[in-house]
Amino acid sequence: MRALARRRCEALCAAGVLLASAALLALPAGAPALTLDPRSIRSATLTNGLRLVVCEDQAASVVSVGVVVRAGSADESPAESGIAHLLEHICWVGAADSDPREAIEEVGGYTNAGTLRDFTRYYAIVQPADFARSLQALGDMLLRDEFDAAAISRQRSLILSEAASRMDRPRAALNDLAFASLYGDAHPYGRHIEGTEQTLSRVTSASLSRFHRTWYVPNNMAVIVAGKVGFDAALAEVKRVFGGLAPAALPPRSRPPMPRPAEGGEVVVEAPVQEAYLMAAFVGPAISEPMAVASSDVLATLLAHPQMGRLARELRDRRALVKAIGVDFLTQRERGLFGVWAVCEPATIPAAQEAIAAELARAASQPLAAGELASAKRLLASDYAFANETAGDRAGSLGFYEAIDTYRTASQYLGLVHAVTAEQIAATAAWYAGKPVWVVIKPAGGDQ
Amino acid sequence: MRPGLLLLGLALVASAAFAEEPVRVVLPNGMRLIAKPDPGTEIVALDLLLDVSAADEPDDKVGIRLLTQRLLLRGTRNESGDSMAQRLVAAGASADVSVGLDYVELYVLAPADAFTLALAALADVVRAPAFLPEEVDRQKEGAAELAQQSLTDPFQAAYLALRQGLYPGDPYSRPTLGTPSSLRSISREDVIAFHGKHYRPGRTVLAVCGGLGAARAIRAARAAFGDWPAGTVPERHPGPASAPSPDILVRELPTRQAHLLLGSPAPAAGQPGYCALQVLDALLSGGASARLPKLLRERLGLAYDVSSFYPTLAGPSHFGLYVVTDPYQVEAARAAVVGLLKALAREPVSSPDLERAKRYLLGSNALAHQRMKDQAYSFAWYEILALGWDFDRRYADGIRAVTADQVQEAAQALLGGLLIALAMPME
Repeated sequence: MRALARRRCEALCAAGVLLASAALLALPAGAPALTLDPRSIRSATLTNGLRLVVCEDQAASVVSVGVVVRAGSADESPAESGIAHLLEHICWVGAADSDPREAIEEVGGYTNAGTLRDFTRYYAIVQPADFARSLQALGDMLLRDEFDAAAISRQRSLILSEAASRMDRPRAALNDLAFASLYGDAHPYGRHIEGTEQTLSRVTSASLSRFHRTWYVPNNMAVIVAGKVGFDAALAEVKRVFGGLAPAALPPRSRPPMPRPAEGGEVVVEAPVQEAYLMAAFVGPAISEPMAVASSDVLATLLAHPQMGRLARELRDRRALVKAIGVDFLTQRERGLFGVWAVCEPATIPAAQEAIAAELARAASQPLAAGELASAKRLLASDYAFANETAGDRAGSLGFYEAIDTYRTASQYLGLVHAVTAEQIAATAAWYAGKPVWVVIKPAGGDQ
Repeated sequence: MRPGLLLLGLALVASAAFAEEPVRVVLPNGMRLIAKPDPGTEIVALDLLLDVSAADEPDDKVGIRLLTQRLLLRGTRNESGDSMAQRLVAAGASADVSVGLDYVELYVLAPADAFTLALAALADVVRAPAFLPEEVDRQKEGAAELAQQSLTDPFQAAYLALRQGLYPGDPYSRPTLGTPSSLRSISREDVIAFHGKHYRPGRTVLAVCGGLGAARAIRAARAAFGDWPAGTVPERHPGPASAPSPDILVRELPTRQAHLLLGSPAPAAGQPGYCALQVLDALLSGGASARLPKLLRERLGLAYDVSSFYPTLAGPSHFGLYVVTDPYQVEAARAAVVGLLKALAREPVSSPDLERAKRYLLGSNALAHQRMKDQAYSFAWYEILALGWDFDRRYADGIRAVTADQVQEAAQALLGGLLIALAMPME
């Protein structure tokens, strides 16, 4: 069956978050990295400040072209929470009389868009011959200046109906709850990306235009191209579509780093779910703390690899305390969330919490078994190779880094992961062995 | 009528996608090997397809292919299933199986530097499965559960009903995964005999795509499979040449929506008319602005899920049109779909519409080959279909050559044999 409803809103999709997280994983040192090989990547900055990154692969059968706008839900004021995501919906579907997606889909291409806390991304995957057409379509999505009220109301109801069925995907709901509980009002990461009914109802054509004018400016955007396309050809097309835009001063964006909560806590929500979902949420490192990021990724693999991880083998396989267990850690511009999650029977919640805490304490206090560190690095490396297999995957990774830091971070970061030592793992685990904020979603009336 | 420059551009793109030439070798035991190197990747996909089709399943052992396939990964005469799984995971590799109407599949994805381990595991699994008694019992239950899910899935239920109408008594009319009762009636001895008879090198194609040289891949595969005894490849009995039954085929299911399926006999893969029907498929449901979604979703608001499909099959295939709609709107939806087909049968499509459908097909075909796994599967699958591993290249030429008249004829032929299948609540 051909999938007709292709849109997958990444902001609302836990799987999207996990995939992005895989992009942070690393290659083994020694052999030269083929995926995202720095020698195959070139970049340029247009005079208006727009960045272009091209990862050329003449063996690819397609080209992926995307635009990242360095504005996400963290750039909203509390009163306009959800506006970045709503704007993305409206831009992506186009105005009433012209749907830019059609230019991509009618040639068999694929397009999607997504909003995260730090950035918004629009992209297409097409045959190389359709590169210019798809870049133009992305330009048509982004370079708007009017947003009619009917489109706002249509997309608002769509977003709200998606939000209303949130508990149908308890893992995503658990992630939302963890961000809200850990960051609270202290940091914009605490607000839901999709906003609330109240904040969305306040969005008007004028406020959308203001957000768009402020952030959708060339010096705040990057075009990412991967696949079968030459750098010069890409540059010429990007100049044609985006070269005429005028740059604009960006608002200041400095916030104090998110502190580590002094004490833990527990937030329990009852919902129409079949099983209990729980997470130990911690403040993790920011992209500006690259060694800690690399170390956290290795630790996450060591603990939570679905087959080889300690948590999976001990809690799921040996003791059968949980049905599924893992770690969510998405590196972001600022300090992101490191969460150990599990799915279990409601009656098992306390035992699962105790066992997770014990495994974190063990990672902090006991030296790694011989080979365990090397094995975790190897698993990271192969995950990374598979997560960056296609042109679309590679454009996604480069865009991700370019949005929160620079695309070069990918290459530098690989060496860091290889350099992670057993001592650093212990130190990182000690950071997470403190008191977490526990969040729990469980069936109503499931008191033990 | 043909914009020559545009077509030339597409032709260049299509051929350049195969910059590194694949190598095809047939071993003395009959096994076919295809290797395509890709210097830009550090992963490798090993996809092994066997020409073991629904027609090979004994009438009272439907589902034996699913059970056999699942058991392959659960231990060989040399190593337990857990131990092998552990070694593959530790190397960053994964393995899985699948079952289609025309073939069974077994594949391993691995980092290219784990190719040797991946190939050895694949060869061991397909040549020396242990079929341990306790695993047979366990996998029987797992397979029965899968089969049950498929039987109660509304699309699958309607689709099975349609195939039963289109192919009465033919292997294509059976549930691909079997039924819980047919699966439970299969013994360990049945599986061993089935594997011994049908899993032969003469029926096997292995395609290797990824970050290693073709010569090395072929050499290693030859070493791993060269001494696999050829045995005798059994003749396949042809299905009965039966006429479709003209009934409306209704399956009662406790669903909220009605799942309406209209279907008609259609050419086998690569046969005359194959490409014209592909174009017709794209005209009807290639993209959100194609005719089916435009009419049923946007103009009439009758359905959100609506599409057409045309399976590429070794034997006589079928063309389907699928609509999920309110039970009270079934007749309106049916009339709308038939109306669309009649319009296509009445007069040839316009040149821009025809070209758009072709570009859609070629574009989505390129997108479907992005992963090493997809490329390996495509090579092996077209070999199994007796079209040759390079069918994909000729496919593009075939699509470009389709005329508006041929699309019109294809629509007329569909209308002549349309059956209706329905899975819906009866209240």
